[in-house]
Parts: sequence; C-alpha cells; structure tokens
Amino acid sequence: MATKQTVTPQEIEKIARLAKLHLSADQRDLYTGQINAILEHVQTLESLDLSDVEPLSHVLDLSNISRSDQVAPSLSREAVLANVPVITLEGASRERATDGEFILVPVVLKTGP
Amino acid sequence: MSPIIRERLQAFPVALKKQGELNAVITDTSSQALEQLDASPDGPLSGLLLAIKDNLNLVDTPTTAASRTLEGYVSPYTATAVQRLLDAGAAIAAKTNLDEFAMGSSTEYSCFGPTRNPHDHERVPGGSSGGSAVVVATALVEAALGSDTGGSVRQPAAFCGIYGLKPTYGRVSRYGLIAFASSFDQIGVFARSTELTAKVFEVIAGHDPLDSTSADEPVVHFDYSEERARGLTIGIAPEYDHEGVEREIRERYHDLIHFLKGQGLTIKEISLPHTAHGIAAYYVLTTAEASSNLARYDGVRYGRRVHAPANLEALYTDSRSSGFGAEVQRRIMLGTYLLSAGYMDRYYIRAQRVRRLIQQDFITAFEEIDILVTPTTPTIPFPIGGKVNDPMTMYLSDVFTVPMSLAGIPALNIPAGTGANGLPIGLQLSANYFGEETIFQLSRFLEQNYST
Repeated sequence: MATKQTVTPQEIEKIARLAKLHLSADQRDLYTGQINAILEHVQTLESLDLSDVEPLSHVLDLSNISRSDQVAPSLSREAVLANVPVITLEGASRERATDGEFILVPVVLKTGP
Repeated sequence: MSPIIRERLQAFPVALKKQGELNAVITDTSSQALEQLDASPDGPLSGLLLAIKDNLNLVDTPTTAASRTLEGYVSPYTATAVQRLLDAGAAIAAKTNLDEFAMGSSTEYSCFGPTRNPHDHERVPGGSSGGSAVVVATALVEAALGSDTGGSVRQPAAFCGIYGLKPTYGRVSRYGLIAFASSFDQIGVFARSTELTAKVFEVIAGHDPLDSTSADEPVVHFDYSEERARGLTIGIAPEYDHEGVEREIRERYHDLIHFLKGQGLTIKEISLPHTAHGIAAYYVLTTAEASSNLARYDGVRYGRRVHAPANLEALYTDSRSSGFGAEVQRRIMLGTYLLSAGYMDRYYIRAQRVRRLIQQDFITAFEEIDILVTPTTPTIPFPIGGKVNDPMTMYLSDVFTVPMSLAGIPALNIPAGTGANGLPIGLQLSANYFGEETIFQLSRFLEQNYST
C-alpha cells in the first residue's frame, strides 16, 4: 500500500533546519517515508467530529502554580562548570570549554561594521 | 545495617557480569552504594537492592539517557524519587539501559546496544524501561524504577513477567527525571510482588515543591483486605478484546475474567469507544512535547559538543545531529512539523480534543466500575530487529497502554503466567485517578488465588 505523501523531502529538510539537525540525503528520504506513514495514521483523527470538545492540555486540574518568592541555594558555579563539554582542539588536545568563570562559545556578536 | 546487603553489593559486579549478555545495565553503582552503606538510614527499604532507569539523576554518577548527546555528563544532583529511595534505606546498585531518551517500545534504540529478554535472548524485553524490567525479572535486584510515558513500565513488565506500575500522572515528582513528554511522563515501579511494588510506590509518591505538577493528594497506605478485593466491581471492554490480539493473550484474559466471576466478583462490560484513536493522539502530543523538551540539548552547557570555533549554528547542528539517534531525530522532526505554523490546529489541537474524549471515556467507565482489566499488550515479546525500521508498527505495540497515559490514570501490569513457548503474558489493571491502592487490592488477591 503506497503511503500518502503529506510532506515532501524538501519540507523534511526545512523541518530539520528548524530543529537544528543536519540530514544526509539518505536520512532525508528515509524520514520522509516514515513520517508520511505516521501522518497517514494520524489523519484518521480527522474522521471525528470534535466541534464541541474542548482541548485537554493537562489531565489534573492544576493552574497557575507558583512558588514563594524566596531565595534558595542552587547549583554552585563549580558544579555547573564541571559538566561543560570537553572539546577536541587542533593537535588533538582536549579541553573543557570554559575559562573557569564562563562557558565558552563561538563569537555571536561582532563589534562595529 | 544488615550484613547480607553488604555481601550482595560486594558480589554485585560478578553477578552482573554473569548476565552480561542481557545488556540490562549501563552503569554499575554498587561501589558507590557500598561506600554510603554505613550512613544509610533505617527505613522501609533497608536491606533492599534497587536499580534505577538511566534517565534519573543520581548525584556523582553519569546519567546517559542511552544517548551520545549526554556523553560526559555527570549528575550534579539527585532526582526526588531517587532521593526518597535512599532516605528509605535502599541501596542503589545500578542504572539501567533504556531506549534513547525513553523513546521506544523495545530497548533497542540505545547507544549502548539492545537489552535482551531473559526468557528468550533473541527477543526484546519491551521498552523503554527494558533494563529495569530485566534486572528485576532476573532477581539481580529486588525492585527498580522506570519511567512510563505511554507504556514504558507496563509493557516491559508484561514482556518480562513481573509487576510494573505506572502511577497517576502527578503522583510521583518528576524532578530529576529527564523530560520526554512532560504532560505524560511518570516515574513507575518494577517488582516481583504486589507487596513490594506498593511499598516502593508509597516511598516515592507524594507532593514535591520542586515539581509544580506533582499532586498534593494524600497517599493511601496499602493494607491487603480480601473482603475489599472480593467487593470490587471489575470492568471489561470490547475495545481491548478483539482479533488484533494474539490468541494466547486473549485466552489468558478470558480465563482470568472467568476466574474472577467464579470467585463472586461483579463483572461489568463497559465501553471505551475512543480507544482506537489513542495511538494517533498520543504520537502527536508526545512528539510535539519532545521536540520542545529536547531543544535544550544544544551542545553548549553539558553533554556532547562538536567543536565549531567560528560558527554557533554549526555547533548546535553538528552536536545535535551526531548526538541523537534515528528514533529521537524522527520524533523531534515530527513534533517540529506538527507545531509549525499552519498545522497546529489540524494536528496538535485536534489531538488535544481527542485526549479529552479518551479521558471522558474513562471517567464515565469508573462511575460504574472500580478496576478495568485488559491485556497489557496485543502481542507476546517480538524478535530483536523485528520492528526497528518500521516506526509505525512499533508505535502500534503500545495500543493498550497509551489510553491510560492520555487520561493520566494509574495502571499496573500483573504477570499472568506464560504462553506455550514459555514467554510471559501480562494483564493490566487500571483505576480512577489516585486509585493505586484499589489496584493493589485486586493484584494481591490474584497473586494469592489465581494460578494459570
């Protein structure tokens, strides 16, 4: 049975970009087929008349739960920096991406034109 | 402190190695537990060896979620449910294998390789909490924690022949559990008896200020009463008893219902008309939630980072693409699509409306019955490799467990003997919100009186 094509390989590529994933051509084609098969099953929900049914986002009747405005200890800087990723630099030396105070990332903002 | 527990912890690495082929454990934490044994408090779980699924944080141990994305990550804190086990005197000996980020029904989608079913090594143990189910089934530990989003405790419990409880949504704090689909995720318990399942459940249940969705409802203590069990009204539903269910499972289900009738319990046929739409609604809502929850794995603060010195976009994309396995990528993309502009009403909002219909089915049913009895799975454990390349078929194996997850009601797999080929058969007992104690009553009654 042929699967209905709801999404095209081009749309799958666009979705992957939005989700910050890079796909090979093989992955793109594989996922296109599999996601279309899932969507075909999902579309069976379109046979239901839901005009009078309110959406349910959460099963318990909880709303606007807030904590008291009190300062409490959280993770120390040391504990957080201990988990910073180790990266492999040129010459294959490995180093934690931190200067001991901050987490290091590529330059995002550049100064001046 | 019992000297036996010390010896068992010392012997644990050897015992684990003996069942190494099953690949149920990611991290052996027995030496850490041994070091902490003298400081371990006396409590209801003293002297017991436990395991936890490796998507639960335990301080100073790696938490992998079976994903390359989390390589190098060491938990800086302990999950509330795990802390409650430790405070109750338990020793935590292992962190167990799972489908990556708990997404799967077979424990095959793990970056550490598949876990095997102890009853037949060529078959899956179920999933996603397959490792926890296996270490309990093989008696390596007494009990284990898993997490259940759409059946990930109940289905592996059925495939491995043990008890597996998914509590009411919000009953157990999710603080420290790696999030998959936050409006579904619930920590559950595996054990080999009703009594111990209930005991561990009572330790981990209860409100936690660190999880704003945890329920502030009293936990009813389980005290077995045969009289109460015999007074329960049992519901059966045709939507769970049809030709799509393997013959052996149906026969066992009919046999158990027949037994209950013979014992004088009231059996009532009820209808849950929207059951068949459960899978579609479930996979829309959970992939949408997952795509949002897994956005946090950006390669910046912890876990895997692919070095891209000049380009932040490449850092994100390269780290995520090489970190996530195929099933996780598929679900992130599906969820991203379903939530994208123009499709939200067609898929996501529609699925939320179906979720209400399924909840309403159960609310109506529990006006007439105390416990719903159904099969846990439509099939016996399937062969390793049988469904990995066909996600839609894999998803359909959750057909009898996702409705309870959509509604958020509690459900327990009970072992109901084995079929002709020696593979376990599981049946599922479900109750209304916060009805765990009622489930335990029927479960204990069956444990004492029903034999296959």
